[in-house]
Amino acid sequence: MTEPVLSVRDLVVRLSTGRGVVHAVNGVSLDVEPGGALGLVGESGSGKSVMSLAILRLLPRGGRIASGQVWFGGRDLTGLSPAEMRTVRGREIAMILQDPQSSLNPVLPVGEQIEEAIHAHERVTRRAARARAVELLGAVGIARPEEQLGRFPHQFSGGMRQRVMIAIALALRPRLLIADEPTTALDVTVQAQVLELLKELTDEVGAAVVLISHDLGIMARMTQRIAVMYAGLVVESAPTRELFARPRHPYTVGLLRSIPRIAGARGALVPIDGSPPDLERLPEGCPFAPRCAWRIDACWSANPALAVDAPEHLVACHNPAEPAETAVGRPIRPGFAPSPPPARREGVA
Amino acid sequence: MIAEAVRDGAPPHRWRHAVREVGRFLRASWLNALGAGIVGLVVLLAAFGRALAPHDPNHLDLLAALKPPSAAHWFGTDNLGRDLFSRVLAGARISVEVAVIILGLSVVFGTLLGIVAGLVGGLVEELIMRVTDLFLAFPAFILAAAIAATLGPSLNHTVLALAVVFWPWYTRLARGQVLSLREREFVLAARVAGAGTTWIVFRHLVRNVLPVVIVQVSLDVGYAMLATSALSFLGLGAQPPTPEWGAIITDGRSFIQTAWWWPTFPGIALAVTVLGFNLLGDGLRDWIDPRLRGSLGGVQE
Repeated sequence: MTEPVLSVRDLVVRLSTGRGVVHAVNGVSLDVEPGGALGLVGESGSGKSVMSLAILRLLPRGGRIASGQVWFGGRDLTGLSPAEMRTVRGREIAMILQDPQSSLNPVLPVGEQIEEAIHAHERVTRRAARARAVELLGAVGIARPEEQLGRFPHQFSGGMRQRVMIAIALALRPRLLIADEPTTALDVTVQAQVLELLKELTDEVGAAVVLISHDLGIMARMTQRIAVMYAGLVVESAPTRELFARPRHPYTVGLLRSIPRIAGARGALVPIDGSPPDLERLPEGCPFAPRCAWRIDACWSANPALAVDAPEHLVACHNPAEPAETAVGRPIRPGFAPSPPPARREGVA
Repeated sequence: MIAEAVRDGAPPHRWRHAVREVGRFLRASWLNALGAGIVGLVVLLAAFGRALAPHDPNHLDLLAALKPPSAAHWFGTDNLGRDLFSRVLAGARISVEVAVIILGLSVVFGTLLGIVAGLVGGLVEELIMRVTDLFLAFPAFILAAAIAATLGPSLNHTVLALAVVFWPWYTRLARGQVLSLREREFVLAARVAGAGTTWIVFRHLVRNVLPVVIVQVSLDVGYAMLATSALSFLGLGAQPPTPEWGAIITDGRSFIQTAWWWPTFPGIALAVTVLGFNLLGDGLRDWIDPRLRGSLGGVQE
């Protein structure tokens, strides 16, 4: 197996807020293969975005990496000086943010913002940078790029702005691109085009991709491997096909059942009951236990570790779902009932 | 042509765009046009007034003392026979210069401090903002008068005193802007692209704070001129024989019954100039407000 481009080991991130400490990421390990695409799925607040910011060491005020390592190019990014970190950002690891509306500076012409990304890392003449900007805008499918350079972001549509962001991100041919919900703010028709472009260009540049999304449809198209996150933990990680065909973690099963399907639309969408845990007070056991139909007694007391379930397939679950059960979305073993919460048991006794 | 413009580093539509915008601003309201017209005239007179003046503003001609307005002396003469029209023209230059220096000092100092406060936060911000509070808590004009009086009456001291009064407003303004800009994604995007703090301040924050500061400046120019003249009127600013409007008015004040033209014309000049700058400032503020929302926040589309 080749050496991964990015290797996150036991990453723990804490965010101090005015009210308390949020346990945003609680020991995540991930590998991204060179040129590969890893998807991170999970609902809002599962730690996807915080983790990507932690990799770039751009956590918001009050956020810090409490422990763990981020290996990239033979170095642990958590130990780099701020100046060294700046040379990594943009040049070796680029990132596309969610909202192209606000990721561009409204008062600077688009061309200057692309050139700026080049100037930040390379000693080139203004003319050379401008030529590169024209080339890049052309590459992301913006017509008549020379004329567009002097225009301001508000003169562009959302899709065009995200294309510009992609141009900026790939300007320096980074080895890794983190795309945090790159198409959430776009129209559905534009989404497909932008994703196609992203895929094409990252292949061309040879950049590995970490794609963050809660849209499993996008994941199926774009990634080779998916890590499912819940409450700041990876609960399941498998090759994309395998994950869709044979989900093991009850949370993944729930996620897959909550996607609308056009073909074979039978019945209503199935939501996952309950809401994610309070990240300021994580439970002692599995954080998904209160919402889980498969839970057993052990789930209330011990948080399961991520363990190999099949080749390349990791699951963190005491009682994973069987293939027959994933179709119905609940356990169908004879005589099985979800373990009641410990508090209620004490109440009865 | 496009290729040429690109090579020169100036995209072709920026200038055309700017000219079109100015045209639209002037046509938006007749008050905008009036304000801009007055300001334009005052600036031109400040630049070329000395050449246009029929007499030396400080030339004494006791035989022509206290003459009412006539073809030879459009605004009449004062008790020393100086031509008031020439003096008012010379005063335009002083007022404009004074306003430029006062606001130049306050804007550079105040805005940078405000940006630092907003960006760095913590103890630094606390310190800077409490100092500005201290200055703002004082009635501005009294403070300026006190400073000018302490330093001794002179135009330079007045300028300094007024700069001390004006800077905290810019600190507040800039800090407020930075606090909201800081959370905007393009700052994060710049960091993601590997930009350092200095780069972000000068490239992104200053450029975004600038439009708001410019509007504030256009509103403050009138006040700065008025305050300078007021301090001169009180005898704390320009000293004779400087043809500062406030100073001319205060000299002419006691002659108002015998020579009404003496304090009247510089008074009108001052009032019209301040009115012009205020109209322009108000117009700019209204003009830029909804547009700021459009280009910065996306409501426009």
